[in-house]
Order: sequence, then C-alpha cells, then structure tokens
Amino acid sequence: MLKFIFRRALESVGVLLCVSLITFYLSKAIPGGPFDQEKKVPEAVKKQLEAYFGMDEPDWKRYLTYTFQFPSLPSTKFPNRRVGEMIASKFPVSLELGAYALIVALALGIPSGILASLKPNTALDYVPSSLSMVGICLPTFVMGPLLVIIFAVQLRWLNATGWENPSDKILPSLTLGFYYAAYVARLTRGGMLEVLNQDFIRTALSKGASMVSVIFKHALRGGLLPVVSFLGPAAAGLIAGSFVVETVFAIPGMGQEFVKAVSNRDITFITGLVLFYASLIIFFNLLVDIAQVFLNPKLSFKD
Amino acid sequence: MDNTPASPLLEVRDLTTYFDTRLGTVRAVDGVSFSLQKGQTLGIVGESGSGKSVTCYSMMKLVPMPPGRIVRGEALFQGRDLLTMKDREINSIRGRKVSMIFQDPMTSLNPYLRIETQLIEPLLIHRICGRDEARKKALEMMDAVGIPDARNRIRLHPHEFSGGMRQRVMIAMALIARPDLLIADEPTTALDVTVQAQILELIKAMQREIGMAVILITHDLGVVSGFCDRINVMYAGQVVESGTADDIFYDARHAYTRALKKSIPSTQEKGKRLYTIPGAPPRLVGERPPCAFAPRSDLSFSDEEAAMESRFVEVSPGHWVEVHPSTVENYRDYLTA
Amino acid sequence: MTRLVNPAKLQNLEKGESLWVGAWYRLRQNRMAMFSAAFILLLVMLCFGLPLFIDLDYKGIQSEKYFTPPGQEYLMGSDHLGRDQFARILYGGRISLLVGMAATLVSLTIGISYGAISGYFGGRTDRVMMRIVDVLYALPFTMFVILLMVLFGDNILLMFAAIGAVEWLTMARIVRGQVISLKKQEFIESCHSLGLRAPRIIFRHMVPNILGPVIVYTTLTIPAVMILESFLSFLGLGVQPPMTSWGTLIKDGADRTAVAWWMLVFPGAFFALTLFSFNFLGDGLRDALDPKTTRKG
Repeated sequence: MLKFIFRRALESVGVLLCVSLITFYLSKAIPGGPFDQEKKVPEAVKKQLEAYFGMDEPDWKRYLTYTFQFPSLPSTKFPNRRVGEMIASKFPVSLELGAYALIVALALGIPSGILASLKPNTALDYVPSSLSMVGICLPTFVMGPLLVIIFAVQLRWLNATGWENPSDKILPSLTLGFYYAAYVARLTRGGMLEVLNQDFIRTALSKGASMVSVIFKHALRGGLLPVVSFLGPAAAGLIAGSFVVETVFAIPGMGQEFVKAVSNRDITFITGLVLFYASLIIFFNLLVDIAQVFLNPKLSFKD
Repeated sequence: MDNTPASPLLEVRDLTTYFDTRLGTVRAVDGVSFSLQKGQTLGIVGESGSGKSVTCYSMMKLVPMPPGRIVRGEALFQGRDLLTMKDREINSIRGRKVSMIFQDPMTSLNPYLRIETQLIEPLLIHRICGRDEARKKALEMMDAVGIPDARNRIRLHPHEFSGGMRQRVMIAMALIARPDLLIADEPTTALDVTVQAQILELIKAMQREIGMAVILITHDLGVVSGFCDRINVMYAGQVVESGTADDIFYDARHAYTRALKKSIPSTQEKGKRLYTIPGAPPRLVGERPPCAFAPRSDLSFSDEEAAMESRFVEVSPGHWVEVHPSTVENYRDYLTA
Repeated sequence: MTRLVNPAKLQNLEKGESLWVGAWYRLRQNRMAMFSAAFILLLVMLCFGLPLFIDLDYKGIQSEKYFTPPGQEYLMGSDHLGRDQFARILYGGRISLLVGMAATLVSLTIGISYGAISGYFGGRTDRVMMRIVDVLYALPFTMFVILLMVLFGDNILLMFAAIGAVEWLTMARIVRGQVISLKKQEFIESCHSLGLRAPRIIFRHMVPNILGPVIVYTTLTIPAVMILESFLSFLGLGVQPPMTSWGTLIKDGADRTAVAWWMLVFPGAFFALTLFSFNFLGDGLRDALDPKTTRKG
C-alpha cells in the first residue's frame, strides 16, 4: 500500500515535470515576444524589460525560475503585481464556486443514479436518466445564460450577476454543478447496474438481506467506483467550467482574471496559472487514485 | 425412504416460470412439481437450460422480474407458500430457514467486503445473536468447513482465497444460521475435480451434523449417485423422470435419463468415443410440442406417434416418468392412442 | 413409416444471428436512436445543403434591423448587428460540425493505429506505448489547448490538431483492449495455426471485430469535440469573426440575455439537440452492437 502511494506520487512528480517543460517551451515559442504589441518599443527599453523579466538569461535558468518561482514573477501586463498575489487574491472565490458545484453534482447525481438503477427501463429510470441526458447536452455556457433568462430576467428572483449575497451563489453553483451531476448520475446508474447484476448480490439476497441493505452495504461501494475515478477529470473540468461560469455571472474569480489575461496577452500570468492549475489537477488525480485503492481491495492486493 | 405421513418440508406444485424476451416468451420452468421430506436429499439433474436452477430461484423469488415472471404454482415450505409471500416474509426465510450456495464461488462472494463481514451477515440480519457472538460462531464455522488458520484468514478479502476455499466459505456462510434446507446450485462445477469430491463430502458431513434437507442441482448424473435419496431429471423446463436414486440408476425408463447415464464418462468403455446426446436442448419459445425430447430421441417413432400427447405416469411406487413414444419404448403400456 | 429424426431439424434448433444483422435489428427497435440519426442527417443536409439552394446572408449587417424578434422577416430573429440569426446558425453549424468531425477523424486515425500496433505486438512495445498514453492522460490537456490557443491565436487548423490530439488517447486504449482480448480468443489462434499472415489477420479478422466499439466511441467523441470547440469559442479563443460557430453565437447570446433571448435560445437549442442526438445514437449503437452491456432488466 505504502509502496503504491510512493510510486504513484513519484509518477505525479514526473508528470508535473512534463507539464512544466511543455508549458515553458510553448511560452518560449510564441510568435513575437510579449512586448512587441500595439506600439513599437525602443530597443533599449525592450532590452530593459527583458532583463526585468529575466528573459536574457540562459534557458535552463529561465526554466527554473518559470517553474519553481512563478508566483514571484511579475505580471507582464501589470509589472507591479506578482503572479502569486494575483492567484492568491482570486483563487478562493473560484475554489468556493468549485466546492459548491461539486456538492451539487454529488448530492444530485448519486441519489438519482441509484434510483435509476433500481428499476431499469421504468419511469423511475427514464426520468432521472433523461434529465441527466439533458444535463450532459446543455453545456455550462448554454445552461448558465438560460438560467439567467429564466430566473433573473423573466422571474426576477435572483441577480443575474455578482457574488455578494448568498443568493447570488445559487445560479452559478447550479450551472457549474448540474453538468457534473448529470455525469455522476449516469456513472452511478451504470456502475450500480453492473454491480447489481453480479452474482454476489444474489448471494446477499439469498442470505435474507433487504434491498436497502443490499444497495448500501453490498452494491454501493463497487457501484460508486466509476464516480470516484471520474472525480479526477471532473476536477479538471470544474476548473475549465469555472472560467465560463465566472464570465457568464461576472464573478470576480480566477476565471474572469484568466479571460482578461488572455485578451491582454499577459504571458507570465497565464503560464503561471496553467502551471498552478495543472499541479492542482495532478495532485487531485493522485488523491483519487489512492482513494480507489482504499475502496477496491483487489487493487491493493496486486501491488 | 422416510415414510412419515407428516406434511413434507417442501412441496412444490405446478411451478411455472416464464421469461419474456425479444424472441418470445421462454418457458423456463413449465409445471414442475415435487416434494421434499425433512432431512432428505433431492438431486435435480439436467443439461444447462433445462430449468433446474430457475426452479429453485423461482421458489426463493430470486428470479429477476422482469423479464422473469412466475405464472402459477405454489411452493409450500413448512406449510407456507413462498411464492405469495411479501418481501419482508421471504427475507426472514432466506438465509435462516433456506440457504443457498452457488456455482461460481469466484463471483458469489462480495469482493469488496471482508470474509468475516459476509460470514456473520446472516446472523446479524436475522438477529440470531450479537456481533461478538457472531464472530465466535463464524470462527467455529470456518473450522467446521475445514478452513485452516481461521482466526487470521477471516480478516481477508475473497480474492485472497482459492476457488475451493471460497466454496467452503460459501458453505460456512449458508449454514451458519443452521437452516432447514440447503439449495446447492452446481456447487462443484467450477472447481477442480479433486476439490469437487471434498466439497460434496463436506456438504454431506454438514448435513449429518445439522440435519437439514438438501437440494443438489447438477448437470452431472455421476455427482448425484450415492448422494441423493431422490432424483428429479429435468428436460426443457419439465420433470421428465422422478424416483429414488435406485430407480434412476438401475431402472431408468426415460430415453433422456438413459442417455444421460450413458454419457457419464466413467461408465463408458475405455478406448471408445465418448457418448454424447445428439443435438442441443430446444429453445423453449413458441408452441409447446407434445414432447420436447422427440427431436433428439434415439427411438424410432412415426409422425402420428410423435403427435401423441405425453403423460406423467407412475410406473412403480414413487417412480414417475414422462411417457411418450419418443421417450419410452413400451409406451403402449401407459398411453392409449 | 418410421424414420429417424432429420438432421436438418437439429441444426434449426440453434440458429445464431450475425452480429451486424442483430445490431441493426436492435438499433431499429430503439426509437430514440433512430430519431437521433434522422436529426443528424437532417442537420447535416440543412447546414451543408441548404445554403446551396437558398441565398442565406449570414454576414450582411443591417444596423436598422438589429434585435428583431423572431417573426415573418427573420425566422429566428436578428442579432445586435441586424444579421439573420437563422443563416448564422446554419453557417455556425457548418463550422461546429466540421470541427467536430475533422477533429474526431484525426483522433480516430491516431488512436486506432496506435492502439492496434500496441495491442498486436504486445510485450515490451505494448508496455512502453501504453506508458506513454498513461503519462499523456495525466496531463491537463484543456489547459494546454487553452495555452496553445492563447499563444498562437486563431488558427482553425491548430484547433483541429489540438483537439484531435486530446481525444485520441481513449480511442487508443479501447482499440488496444479489443485487440488484446481478440488475440487471446480461439478463432484468432486458429488463424495463426492456419498460417495466415499478420496483415490478413489484422484486416480480415480483427478490424471487423474492433469496428463496433470504434463506431460507438466515434459517435460519442464528436459531441465531446464540439463541446470543446464551443467552449474555446465562448472564451474568445476559438473561431474568430466574421466566421462563426455555435460557440460564438451562444457567447453573443449570453452577453445579451436581457434584451434578446432568441440570440441564446436558438443556437443553444440547435447545439443541445445535436449533442443530444449524437449521445443517444452512441448509446443506441452501444446497446445494439454489444448485447452484453445492453441495459439489463
């Protein structure tokens, strides 16, 4: 078990290394440096700027600073602000949004998936399954504005934008969470159906276990494995999705900052952000993998 | 044979289970009747698809519904009909009065739970005792079924056991609540030949100890020899011959039973090709033929004879045979045209 | 009059049905899947065929007719620049579908060849190749695609390449898994024992058996790619004006929810329905082609 965690952690470090290298070389390969934008900058000023951002250093040194000290790098657009500060000031909002969305996804997805798996091909199945199909086919950038039209523009129950009142947080969390709730529901249904059709469920029933006990004691653990392994990609997806949701609802988080940085071509900030999010995703994947081994005794036996 | 006039432990009458599939309604179990006395052993023999397992699953209401559906019949266990019971009632029977073990011990144990958790479950479900005592009983049971080092191995997960050991765990689990009836569905089919005999011997020994009745489902007539008091031979969802072990082994009447006997490898002459029954079991869809075995019978009969209705006849006391020109040579003794 | 049983009768007892015939039958039974297939066909004809026959102006700015609600003049209203929304949806659909299919094709080609080679040769080759896929899997690709689009600007070819490069991994795994399980099966072993050469075994005996999962996954990849494209376009990283895709249309609509609901609802509906259809068709195909995983009941 420990051996597995160690090996898996080592792997993550390797992947991180790949990510940092790719990011570094991509940012180096930009056609035209970050400073030749609208107006022509005098050569001397450009030299000075490049020195300030450490661009006159050899590659290996630049790589090391870009990778390991990116938080202390100044933003190319706002040289008096550091990348780390920008991330630290905006990330908590995005994290909060992501956490709510994840709660929505699991709280809606798992129960409806279980429900659908109990009586396959009946109304109890079709209703949640169709709903989750709708969820999957309404990406956040359609869902969000649609919710705004209904609840903010037409019904005027909630604000269309903002992140101040607790009620402001409802629409964005639902928007971001619903898509994943739909996915979780589908995965739960599939996983549960697979498990419920296995022989050991029949064994449990033959022992006199009630359906409730069969579901929660015998089936859920195996049935939720697909959901657990989906949490890795879901974390990555939630981050990307938060970019959209924050734009739609004008939420002052990382996503909005990112979109601004894109139009400003703020290279140090964007590469820093990519590195930051990439490490976050990789770390989350590591956690998910370890959780899976804990849940599935067969896996731990192999290592 | 036990001749007590008291009501039998289990009495199945006209049990009929259909499956609705895309290709039509499959008559998986088609009017099966039999009875079982306390402590007795019944063998149910037939090819795969003959309905022997579905018969038992139907009794215990373990057939997935839909697509399965119990059309009619009753299964009186200690005088109460299992088929009309509510979920709560049948749950109180399953695992406590009637236990089951299954063909594949690899898949029949929950891979996510420790052996201990699964072993003590019947005791906890039926509130027979508390958790601590249940643990003690589980250890005793593991000893009884011959699992060495029970104290340590009870903490393991199923995949850490061999196939034979898992089947022992299954038996321990099925018998821990001391049931009145054990249904063993091909308990040795998935196991090595050497282990097969051990498992059968174990079931026999446990039967002697607990005094339960046993229904042994198998496709191997060789397995039931010397093990069962009575044997039902099933074909195409129906019982085609039923009698004591002696009736079946020394006085088999039905062509199918004889063919089954002929195809036991150990009874065959060395150096000759193994005998197999020609053809495959029929699909049980569509109109019911007068006799399902007719296409595979090695007897000769005319078209008119093939169209005759078959009858279930008691040829000697307690020995019943489905009589038809394609199944019994001297059918004229029992059928009138 | 007596006779033994006719052997032909015995054969009739167990008549199997071919995989494809059975699959087609099962697919036809699935009404949702058939509707979906019809919708996709109709959509492709509308997006690619209709502009050939009717003059649909998707760029023409008529500033005095901005924000016209759906009605006689504009079937689906006009946008903030007075452009015909219906025409724009069809043209946007062209781009979205094209990106979806082209990128899927890219991922298909890479994925199948990679997976087939890895699975067929097995051993060390397989281990190394699959290790590479594992590492690539762990990379946060959306981030890279975003970075690529930010750094290199709007370039639709780059978008194909980037998206295709993300999506081939799963395909490679599926194909490899299929090839490996096929290799172990008796009928492939019997091919080897008959002395058939590798190409013949691969194309004659393996490809037809791999086709099922590949078709299923393809129908599911197209919508995934379309979502990714629209996502990028929504963030302003994808298709740039005057070209348009459903993503940009939805973005335009999302910015004007308070004044022109039709600018969001119509492109959104087209997009959602298309995703819906591909997903349903994919599910239907999976159920049809793999009877084992069919929804059990």
